[in-house]
Amino acid sequence: MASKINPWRSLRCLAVRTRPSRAHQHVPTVTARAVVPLGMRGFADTISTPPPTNDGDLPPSEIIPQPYEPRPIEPFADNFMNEEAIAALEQAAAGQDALDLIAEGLKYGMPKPPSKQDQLQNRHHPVIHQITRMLMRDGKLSKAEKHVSLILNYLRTSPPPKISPARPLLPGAPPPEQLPLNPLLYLTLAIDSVAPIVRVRSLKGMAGGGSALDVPEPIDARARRRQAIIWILDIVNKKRSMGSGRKQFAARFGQEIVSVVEGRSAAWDRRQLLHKTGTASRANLAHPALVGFKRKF
Amino acid sequence: MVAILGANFHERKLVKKALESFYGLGPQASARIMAKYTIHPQARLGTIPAKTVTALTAELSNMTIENDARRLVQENIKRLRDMGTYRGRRHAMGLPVRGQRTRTQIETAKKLNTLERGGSGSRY
Amino acid sequence: MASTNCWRCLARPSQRLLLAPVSVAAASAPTSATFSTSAQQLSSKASSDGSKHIRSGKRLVLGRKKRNPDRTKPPQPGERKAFRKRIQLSNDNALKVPGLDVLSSEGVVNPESVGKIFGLPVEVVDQLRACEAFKSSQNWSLFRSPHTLVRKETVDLAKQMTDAIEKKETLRLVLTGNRGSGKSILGLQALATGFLNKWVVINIPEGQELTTASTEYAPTPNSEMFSQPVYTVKLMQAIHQTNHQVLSQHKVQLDHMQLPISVTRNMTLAGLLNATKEPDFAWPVFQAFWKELLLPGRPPILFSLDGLAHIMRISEYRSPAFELIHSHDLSLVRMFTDALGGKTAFPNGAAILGVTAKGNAPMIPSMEKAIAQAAAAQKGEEPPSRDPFFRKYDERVFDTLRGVKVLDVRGVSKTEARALMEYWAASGILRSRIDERSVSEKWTMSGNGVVAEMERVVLHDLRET
Repeated sequence: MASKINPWRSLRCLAVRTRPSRAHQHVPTVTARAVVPLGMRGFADTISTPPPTNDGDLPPSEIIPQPYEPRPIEPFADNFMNEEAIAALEQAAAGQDALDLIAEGLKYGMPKPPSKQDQLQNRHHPVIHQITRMLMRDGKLSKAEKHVSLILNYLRTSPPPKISPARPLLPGAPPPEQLPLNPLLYLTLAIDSVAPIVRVRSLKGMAGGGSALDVPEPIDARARRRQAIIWILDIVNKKRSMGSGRKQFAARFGQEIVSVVEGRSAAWDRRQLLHKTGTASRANLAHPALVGFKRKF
Repeated sequence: MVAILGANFHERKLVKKALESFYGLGPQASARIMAKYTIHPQARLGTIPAKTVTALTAELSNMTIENDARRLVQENIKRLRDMGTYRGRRHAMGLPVRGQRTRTQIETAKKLNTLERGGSGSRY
Repeated sequence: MASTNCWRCLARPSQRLLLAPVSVAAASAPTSATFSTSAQQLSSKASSDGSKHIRSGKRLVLGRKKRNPDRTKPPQPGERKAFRKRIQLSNDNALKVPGLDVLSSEGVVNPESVGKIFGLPVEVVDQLRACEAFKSSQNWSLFRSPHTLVRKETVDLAKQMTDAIEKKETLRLVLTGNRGSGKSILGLQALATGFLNKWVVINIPEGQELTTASTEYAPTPNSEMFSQPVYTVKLMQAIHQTNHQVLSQHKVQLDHMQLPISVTRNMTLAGLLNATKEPDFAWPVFQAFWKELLLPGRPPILFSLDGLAHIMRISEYRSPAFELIHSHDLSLVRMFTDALGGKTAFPNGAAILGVTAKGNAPMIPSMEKAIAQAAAAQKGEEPPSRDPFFRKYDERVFDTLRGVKVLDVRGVSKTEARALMEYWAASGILRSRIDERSVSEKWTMSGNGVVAEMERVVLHDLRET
């Protein structure tokens, strides 16, 4: 067994050389690099490399230093962009629209630039955006988009709804004959009409004795629509499919939208129930536990 | 109702499924039988002509299916058992035969590995 | 008598008195199980009118999530498929677009009608529907009545067909193009041209119906081919329905002694088609009909097939020897490929149209190469050579597509796009101003006027407005 403190193991790696194994040749290249003009940088793809002024055989001491020649100053090329920018700045300074001038060369004028908050993902109508995301299963957005466009096609082709006076739609709704040709409005109207106004939160153990305290609270438009879409989707998913193929889901969803507008949908009952609970629990807003709760935070 | 080899099937039943309901007749054999009588894979029993149905019955009666196939399998197992082999013993015990672990996952073996493999004669 | 109630209830005699007396049915419960709570509960379930437990204790209930059975009636057999295949050609909500011409046999070859929307005549719509030229994936259901855009390719194709048929020649043509560029619609316009010109129009709406082993097949006696009797009956009925007017003017001229049905000389061709609905006799009768059509003095023929790639490969059928059958060994497919390959002589002029599909189509390298070669030969260029390292080229495909003309369908031009968008706006489907700028924008957005993309960009524009 070899000794642990064997010095040869590490010493063997050392190479002891008395002479350089190769003659130094980098001196001429250094001088060659010095010849390259000042403005030129040695990019890898530079083609116009100046030929070496001397052979490698020549000793470095024989290079004759060239006299310094100042290069003539190149005039700037006409920069139209610059001029345009300056003109636009001048126009802006004069209180006019700076973009007018830039749009001169364009066939259809300048497109409206997106504002800072605009996102590519938010390019659709908010209702469409929300429905698409809520229809989406397994992250398949394009499939959900296809469904939404087929739903809109269904609304375009279905006969105009007969609105029931028992379930009034939003005030200011257009006459039902106009709805099919504006499917986006049709969809929005159905969802906004059936959307609840309040949400009833049940605060656990707040009523004392371990029982929950129901408290109504107002909700914003997006959350209202979300609740309505959840109700509609619940009904649609329970409905038996009478067809097959890519249009069957859209047909079921579209039928439910039509029945919402016509006041036949079960979503109305759920809305009514929620509103009733909300009205009943209105008194709880003055509950001492809640008042204390609010004060605490 | 369409009768093949004494068994009655609904007219809407796929021919493929009807054939594969016989013991000892799997996807390969059914595909070959159907190709022999030029029945397409999605054909239903109601759509094939009556003479093809009788031909199918005749074809099946010459094959080793149902009780013949069961007896074949059971005889093989019995032979193993009579020779006193390990495999025969495992069959008799209702345990995996081919050296699988027995700590878990032997439900299928418990269900299938018996001396009377393939069950009794009833098809339903 | 043993009590039917459990011990817990006995502990509360005061409540016991308030309950209804024990019923006879409950009293006749087996007496041996008096100490078992669960047995008591089970027996009391049967006699619901009897005494109820006030506290039954906690029991594990499994399967609570079980959904209520669906009370609605299940769809009838075939109803779901009918929903999938339904073709709706009118929408009462859409506005009527006045001032549009109706397509005519002169209009479709007139270069001035390029970039105009034409309505389809009612009888042609019926004929097109009968030969299944409309597809459920096309947006016919959005508009008041079927209208089509006559584009440059339409006039080109119609002109080629009418010229060839006037000279009693055969036009063999393959429609290719990108996905959604309007190949099938162009095929429909060609069929409409055929109907307007009173040609005999034979259309196979989906090539894949013939080769995916979903319809009956039977060996043809004395040949290696296979006929598809049920599909042939369906095709004969469709031909009879669509071309009744033309075919009833021509009488049978040949003797058809070998046919299983009796065919006399004073029978019309329409009568011949309608003579049998028996699948066993369908193929010989159809063959006889085809022979009659190829006699001199008969009307010209337009034979069209959509989904060309599906019939250019080995089908999913198996022969009795359990070998896969090549699609060209199916006799109906062979009839089409012989016509497309120029093996059949048409003395009265004919147009044979193969429409490729891009959405649902297998990759057939032989077909792609053969079409590329045909396209190069049409332009007078050097045809592209075959890949020397690819073994599976199919000679029969090359034979079929040798010397065919190729019509490459691309996007519509901007003027055509404008006509289309104006029609959509006039129908009330598109709700925006149509000017040069918006047309140009949508045209660009849709990959230089690919029509299906334009529909997506324009009709399904869900933007905030």
